[in-house]
Amino acid sequence: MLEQGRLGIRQLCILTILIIAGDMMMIYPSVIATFSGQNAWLYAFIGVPLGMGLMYLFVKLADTYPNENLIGVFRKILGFWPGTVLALFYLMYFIFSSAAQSRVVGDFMTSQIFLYTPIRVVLLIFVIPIGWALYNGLENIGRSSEILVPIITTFMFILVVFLLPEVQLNQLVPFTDTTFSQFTHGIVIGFIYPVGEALPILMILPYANQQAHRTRDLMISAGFGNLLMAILVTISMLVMGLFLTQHTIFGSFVLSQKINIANFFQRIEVLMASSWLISTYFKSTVYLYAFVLGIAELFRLKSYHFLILPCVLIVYALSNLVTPNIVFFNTTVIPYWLEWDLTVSLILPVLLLIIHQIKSKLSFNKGRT
Amino acid sequence: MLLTIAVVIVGCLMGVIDLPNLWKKKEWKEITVYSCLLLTSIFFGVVAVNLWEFPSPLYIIIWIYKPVNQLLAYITGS
Repeated sequence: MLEQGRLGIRQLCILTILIIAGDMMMIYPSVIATFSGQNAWLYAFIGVPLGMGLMYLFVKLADTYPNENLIGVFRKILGFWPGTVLALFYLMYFIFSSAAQSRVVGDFMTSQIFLYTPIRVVLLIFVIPIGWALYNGLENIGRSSEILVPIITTFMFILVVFLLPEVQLNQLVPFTDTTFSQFTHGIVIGFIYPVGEALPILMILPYANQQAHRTRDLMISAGFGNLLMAILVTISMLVMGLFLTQHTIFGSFVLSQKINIANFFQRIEVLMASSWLISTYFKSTVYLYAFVLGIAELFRLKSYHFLILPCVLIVYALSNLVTPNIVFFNTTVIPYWLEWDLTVSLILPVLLLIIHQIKSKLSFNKGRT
Repeated sequence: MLLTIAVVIVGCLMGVIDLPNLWKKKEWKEITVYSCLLLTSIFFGVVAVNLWEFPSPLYIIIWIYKPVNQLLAYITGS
């Protein structure tokens, strides 16, 4: 087996929560509000059980061949060459996602905090720790995520509780004049966008301890992560209203600027941003890990450690090249990115499961006659 | 020019770190995959640090999903 390290089930669940929170913590409210209008918070809450169902689907797909990772599962179900083509498609998804998340961090830093720093420097500083984490292996990623996850939950809690004085309940009134396009977009974004991007968890699932309640724990953590995002959307709609939620790209940063308790407890937005940076860092790391491991699995290499350095350089270069500016990413790419997420994390896994069922039925019949 | 040289030197350092081990074990497939990745990364790295105009790789995604998107827009009538 390529990876010798073993993850505990708690580390796996924490990594799932971190991937779901990831860069969604900043951009999710604006995306879902842009596509689905006033009822965005309702769709976000509807997405919680749907997201748990999606995570059940992922675990089901991984359980067809428990000792193989995603690439191996493709090859086992589809055969060698079709599996390889599909694996290449998924590897492209992993590397572009990793680069895009680093790029969102760079855009955020250069547009909100370090206004005069070139984005290449910010990206270099962000990418080097990713390479360091990969170099130290999967177990260390899991353990450091265990240390850092309380920071994120604490800051989410602080954000929600200290914004309660600013809440205006009349901004939550649902409209009934929702169009069909808004409805479908809302439902789909509500569970595909946070939980669907937890797909690379399938690449590390074979290297976690096999326990009886693994499926239940993963579903609960997916629901928890998605619930955090739904609460964030709701508090954003409550405080800023629909228009501002749609038009601020980094919503929770602006939200935490609004915290002001008695002119004393204020200006904590950079702490909020740091918690977001931590979760995005883990998301980007796991995506790049999935890419490196996938390359090693695709070419049947003996180890994956020597591939890390060039892959880190590729992520650095791609995160510079992936969009020429922030506007291109947010206006042009996001609709296509949603469809890509939908294909990769819902349609193709369902098709694979159906093919697997048919194949096992056929071989069962053949064995009987 | 300095940035280009820096990226090339970094790429060569990566090769110096990893390649001798593989060479000693005579793992030709690993060496091929590694050098392909390293050459791509150096090429893209040079393009990136010099801020040259380069079409975003995400145009592949846009090219794949544009017909789907138009079909969906036609069905939902938006």
